[in-house]
Amino acid sequence: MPGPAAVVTGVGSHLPPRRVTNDELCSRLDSSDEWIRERIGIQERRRADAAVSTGDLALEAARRAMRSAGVTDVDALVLATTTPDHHCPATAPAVAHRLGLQDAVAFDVTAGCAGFVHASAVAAGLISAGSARRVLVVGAETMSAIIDSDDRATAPLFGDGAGAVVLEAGLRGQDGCLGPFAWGSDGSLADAIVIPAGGARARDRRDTAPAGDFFVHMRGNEVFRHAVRRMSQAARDAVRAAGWTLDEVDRLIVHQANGRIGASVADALGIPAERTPSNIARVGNTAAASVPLLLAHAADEGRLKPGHRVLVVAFGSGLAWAATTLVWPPGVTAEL
Amino acid sequence: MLEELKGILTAQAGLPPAPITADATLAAAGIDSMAVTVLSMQLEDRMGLFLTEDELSRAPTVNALADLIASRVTGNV
Repeated sequence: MPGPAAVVTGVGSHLPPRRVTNDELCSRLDSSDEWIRERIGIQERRRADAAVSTGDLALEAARRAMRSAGVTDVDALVLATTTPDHHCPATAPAVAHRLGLQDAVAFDVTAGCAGFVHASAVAAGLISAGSARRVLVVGAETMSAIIDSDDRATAPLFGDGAGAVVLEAGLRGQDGCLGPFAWGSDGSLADAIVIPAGGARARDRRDTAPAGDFFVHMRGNEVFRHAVRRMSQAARDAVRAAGWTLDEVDRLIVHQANGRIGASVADALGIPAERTPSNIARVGNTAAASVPLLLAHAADEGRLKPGHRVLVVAFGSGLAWAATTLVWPPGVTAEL
Repeated sequence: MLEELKGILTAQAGLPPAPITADATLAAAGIDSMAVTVLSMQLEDRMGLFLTEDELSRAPTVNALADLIASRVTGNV
């Protein structure tokens, strides 16, 4: 018999203040404001100053999520990121320390842009197993640290930011409770989104690898195809596992990969655009921060209301994908 | 097939309709690599056709692209 359910009791987000427009990027790229806006749906993204790290963004989002939940302590902090402050140690313990959490369990989860949904699944497992009663789940990224400003495939796409939720032990079936997860990976396409250098695999090339190998490389068309296929299937599986049908979904929260991918997933699922909130125009693809940022923004704007049946799905490097469901809970005010 | 192709390119790939004319090259019609990927996936989903992005991209014009798809539908290639 399963243990307690994981219930969303708070949501928060944080964006670094500096806005980067398409025109600013296009001074170095063979692209245009019009193409970026019309084809990938992005008008601007945020960039953290060099002194601001993923841990700093995570800290602010975490504080706000805790304020939203009205709590001052958690048992565990799970941080999803593709851009940790260091290879070693994990970023989460330092964030937990700065939050004043004494001896809290804190660790990072790496699943690319699907990381936040993976981290939520891990947190729900901790709660269900009785290992924690209250868990902070954070998605935070400083994508600007791994983006080549001269790469037109990635530079316009990615932005920096952070989002977080508080999950607490509750009853299965109550509003805010995370439903079953549909998730998986396909490592045969590990090189579809990859930073070639800087890790153990390329340690013999540490001094000889070209500078570009320390940035993220992405085979866009292949990623597009797999993102749409995998997210559509995971979404269907999560909805079925929840005992819902797709036409009962009030809001689709799809990873803000690019505007066209989100639209294609919604189209494949038959979910109309008005039920698919989006913030990619303002923040770009914020990788593991994308889902909690969109939850916070949609809740704040009233596009996500208590009682809405919400389908959440994400996809990223790995390749990895994950989906879940929840009924948006009453009494949760997003802290932006 | 030309009209169906236009329909996919505008509704699913999100391209503006005006430049998609029969004699336009794919580039002039605005058919970028992302649109070709969407088209390839839609052909598979709607018609069970497997045309790679490379095959689709080689068509010199929109009309030639429509002819290529039509020929696969009728099994002439």
